[in-house]
Amino acid sequence: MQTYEIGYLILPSIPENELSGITDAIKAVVEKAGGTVLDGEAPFKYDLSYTMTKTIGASRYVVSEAYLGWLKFEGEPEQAVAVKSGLDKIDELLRFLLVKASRETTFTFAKAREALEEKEEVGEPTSVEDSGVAKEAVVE
Amino acid sequence: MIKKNYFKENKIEHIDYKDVETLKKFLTPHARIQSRKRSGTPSVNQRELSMAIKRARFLGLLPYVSR
Repeated sequence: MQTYEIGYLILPSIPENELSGITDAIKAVVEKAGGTVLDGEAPFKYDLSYTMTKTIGASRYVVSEAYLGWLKFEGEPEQAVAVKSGLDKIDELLRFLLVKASRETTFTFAKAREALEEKEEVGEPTSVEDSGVAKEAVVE
Repeated sequence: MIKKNYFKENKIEHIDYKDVETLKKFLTPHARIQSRKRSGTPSVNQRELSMAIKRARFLGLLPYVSR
């Protein structure tokens, strides 16, 4: 048994209420291959670092943002191969990454966002008066 | 110069490709991977780090080139 992780990008042209259908399709691919889904995070909109293209039939999509999500599952290496070929057939997926992972989840986007918010709160001036004084000083 | 191990200090056992904020610390302004000499990362961590950065690049979380 090996734990695998799928990181995936969904095309931004898909309306948000249809995202759950695609994540369900990914889960169905994993379960059909015989794997068991362990963990995951729902996709959310993410600004990509560079533009990507995806060709479906005759149309070519150039995108600079996408819905980013991930999923962890457990299975045999042969099952992972089946999952890969299954995911290749889902047209709504812009890209996906299938890698070996550790069983316990050490990082989630939700946790990272919380940590970032905390950091920003600490970085802000403690009182409004202080910031006012600082601004005046800069103006002078 | 004393070498600092960021991952040991912050108790990061597994370097995740999704952890963009951490990975960004190990990129140069041109988005190339910093050398071990520069960052002081031990070889074990450097190998894991470079793999994570390359995975993040593929998924568009980090750029291949910048500026």
